[in-house]
Amino acid sequence: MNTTVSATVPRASGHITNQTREWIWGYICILPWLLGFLIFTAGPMVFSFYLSFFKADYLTASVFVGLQNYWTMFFDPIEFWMLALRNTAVYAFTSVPINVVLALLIAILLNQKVKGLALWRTIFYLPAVVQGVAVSLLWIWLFHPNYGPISGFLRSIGIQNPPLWIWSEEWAMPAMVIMSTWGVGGSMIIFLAGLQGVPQSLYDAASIDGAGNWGRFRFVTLPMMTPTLFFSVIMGLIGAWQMFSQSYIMTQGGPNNATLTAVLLIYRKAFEQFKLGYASALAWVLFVIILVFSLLVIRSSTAWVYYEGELAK
Amino acid sequence: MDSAKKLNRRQFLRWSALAAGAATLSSCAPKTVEKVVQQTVEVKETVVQEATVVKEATVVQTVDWPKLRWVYNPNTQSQAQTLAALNKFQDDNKIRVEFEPNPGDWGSITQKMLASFAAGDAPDIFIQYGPYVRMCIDKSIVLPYNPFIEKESFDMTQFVQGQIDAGTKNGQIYGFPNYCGIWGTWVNLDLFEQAGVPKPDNDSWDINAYLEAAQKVVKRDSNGNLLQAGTELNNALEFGLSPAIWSYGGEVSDETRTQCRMSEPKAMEALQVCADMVWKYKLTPSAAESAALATAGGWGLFPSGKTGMRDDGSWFFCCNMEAIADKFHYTVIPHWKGPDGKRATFCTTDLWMTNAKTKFPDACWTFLKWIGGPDMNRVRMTYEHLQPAIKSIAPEWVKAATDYAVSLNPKESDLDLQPFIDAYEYARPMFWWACHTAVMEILQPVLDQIYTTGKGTVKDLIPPICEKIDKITC
Repeated sequence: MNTTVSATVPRASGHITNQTREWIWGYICILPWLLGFLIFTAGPMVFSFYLSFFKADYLTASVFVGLQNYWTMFFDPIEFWMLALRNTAVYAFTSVPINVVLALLIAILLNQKVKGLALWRTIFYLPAVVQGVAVSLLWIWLFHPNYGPISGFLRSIGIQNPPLWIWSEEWAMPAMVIMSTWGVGGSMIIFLAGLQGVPQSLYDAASIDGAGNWGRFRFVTLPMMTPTLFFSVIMGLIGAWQMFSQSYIMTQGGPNNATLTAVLLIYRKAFEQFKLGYASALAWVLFVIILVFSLLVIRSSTAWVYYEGELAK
Repeated sequence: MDSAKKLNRRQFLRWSALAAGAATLSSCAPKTVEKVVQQTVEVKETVVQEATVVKEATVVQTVDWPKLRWVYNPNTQSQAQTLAALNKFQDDNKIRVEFEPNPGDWGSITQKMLASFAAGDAPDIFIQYGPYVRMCIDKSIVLPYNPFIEKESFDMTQFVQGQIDAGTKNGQIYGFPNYCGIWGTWVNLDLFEQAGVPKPDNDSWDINAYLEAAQKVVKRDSNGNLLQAGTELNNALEFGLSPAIWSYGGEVSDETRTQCRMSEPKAMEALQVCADMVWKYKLTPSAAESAALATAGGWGLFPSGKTGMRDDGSWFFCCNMEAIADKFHYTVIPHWKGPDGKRATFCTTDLWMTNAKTKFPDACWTFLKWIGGPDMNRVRMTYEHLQPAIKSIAPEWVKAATDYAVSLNPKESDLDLQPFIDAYEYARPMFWWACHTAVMEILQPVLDQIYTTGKGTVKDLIPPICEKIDKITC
C-alpha cells in the first residue's frame, strides 16, 4: 500500500507532500474570504448569541439576565414579537407561492417560440434590476388610492371604492405581497434556464404515449422542474422571512402595526431603543425559525423533488 | 527562454496568494495621519533652525494643541462658511478641530451617533436630537456644563429657556443650544382671501377662529375628494398633538415624562378636536389624501398652495421658500389658543452635547461657546435660515428671513415672523417621553387608529394605552 501511495503522490522537496502543499496553498488562497467570514459574519453571530443573554446597550455596563430576553419576547404582553412573527409568516406563506407560480407561468410563456422572444424576456426581467428603496417609493405611488394606477384600474372595472392599500390596516399586508411580485423576473430567469434543460426527447416520448399539452406539463415539465422549484422555494422563504425595507420605507410597520415584520422589530429594538441584548435574542429566534422551515422544505423534498438520473421511488 | 518566464499553475497560485496576503496586511497598516504627525515632528527641528519658515512653524505648533472631533450635519453652504470660520477659531484658541460631516435624516444621524458611542469611537462634540438627548443624559455618556458655567459665570439666560430645559436634568445642564425652531401656523393669505377669511389677528387667534377659517377654505368635490385643505394638521404626538393638548390646558405626561396624562379630560378633549378635524369636519387631509396632494420632500400641501394653513415650525422657512417663491402670498400666525385662552407651543431640542470621556473638556467648552455663540448662530440663520437660539439676535433673523422672502416675492414685505420670536417666552421643549422610542412603539399604533385609519376613538383607546405607558421602563 505504501508503495502505491508514494507512486501516485510523488513527494516534493522537503517533508511536505504535493497534496499537503496544494491543501496549504488552497487555504492561503481562500484566506481573505475566510478571514472576512470569520471576522464579519461568524464572529458577530457567535457574539450576538452571547449577547442575547445580557441586558446590553453598550452605553452602560452590560448585565447578565439569563433567559429573560427570550422569556420577554414570548410572554410580555407589551412586546410585539408574536405579532411581528405572525405578520411575517403571513407575508412569507403568501408571497412565496404566488411568486413561484407566477415566475413559472411567465417562464413557460417565454419558453415558447414567439416573435420578439428576446425582447419579451428582457421586458419581464427588467423590473428585477431595480430593487430596494426605489421600488418602495415607486409602489407608494402605484398604490395611491386616489391617483395610483392600481386604484384607477379597479375603478375602471367598476370598483368605485378601491382599497386604501398601505393606508389601510386590512390591505397593507396584501399590498406588500402584491408588491413582492415586482421581483418575479429573477425567479423567472432561473425557471427559464430549467425549462430549457428539459430534453425534447421526453416531450416526444410523452406525445407518442398520447399526452396532450396538460399531460406533457404534468408528467414531464413539472417533475423535471422540481429541483428548480425546490431552490426557489427555499431561497424565497429565507428572503421573505427577512422582509424589512418595504415596511421600513413605506409604512414604518403601520398602520396599527399591520406591516410590522420580525426584522423591522429587531431593527427598532437594536438601533432605536438600543436594546442590543434583546435584539440579539430576537434575531436568534428568527434564525431558528428560518432554519426550521428550511429544514422542513429540505426534508419534504425527498417526496417531491426529482433529480434526473435518480431511480424512481 | 520564453517558456522559462511563464508562470506555471503552482507559481501563479503562490504569487496570487502572496498578493492577497499583502493586500490584507496592508489594510492593517497604521493610518496615514499618524505618519503625517511623525513627519511634522521631524520638520519641527528644521523649523527651529530656520525660523523664517513661518508657515511650516504654524503647522508644527498644532501638534501640541488639543484635538477635538466634531460631528455635525449642516447644509453645503453653511458647512463651507462654518469651516472657513473654524480655521480662525483654531488659530485664535490653539485648538485643533476635526470636522466630520454626518449626512442623513435626523433619526439616522442620532442613531449613528449612539452607535459610535457603543463602538467606543464617539466624537468629542456632537449634535443630538430630541429623544436621544434624554437617553444620553440618562446613560451618563455626556458631560454636564455647570462647572464651566459657574466658573465663568457664563450667561445662559441669553438662550431660549425652553432649550435649556430640554437638556437639563436635576439642575445639571447637558445640552448647549444650537438653533431654536418654534412651532406655529403658516397661512396662505391668497386662499384666505378667496374664501372671504380676513387675515388672522394674532391676539384673538384661538381654536374656534382656526376651525372656522379652515371650514371656509376647505374644498371637496361631489365625491368627497379633497381639492383644497382647510388646514394641514400634523398628528404626530411631538409635533401637532402636544401643543394642542397644552393649549387646552392638559398635559401629555407628568414632569418625569414617564406617567401618561393624556387620559385626563382636557387632554382627551384636545385629542378629540384633532381627530374631528380629520374625520368629522374633514378640514385636514387624511394620510392618503396628504400623500396624493403633497409636494416632494415631505413638506406637505402648503408649498403647492393646496391648503389654507399648515402647522409647522420656523424651520419650514429653510427649505420651502424657493419652492413657493411668488406662487402665493403667505404669513405666519402663532399656534391657536385653547378654549380657556391658553396659548402653548414648543421649541426644538437639538442640542450640542459633549462626550463624557473627552480628553479635553476645557477645549470642548471653548469650542461650544464658539459654535453656539452669536457668530455661528448668524451663519446658521444666514445660510440655513434657522431661527437663532440667542434671543438678542432674533431681530437679525427676522430681517434676514424677510429680506430673503421679499427677494423671492415682493408681496412678502409684510411677512410677520414676530409670532416665532414672541414664542421664545412661552415655548416649552418639544415633548419626548423619558423612554420615548419604547413608548411610541405602543402609542403610535393607537394614534394610527385614531388619526390614520379612523377605526378607533380617543375615548376608547387613550385611557387603556395610558395605563400601559405608565408601566414602561427603559
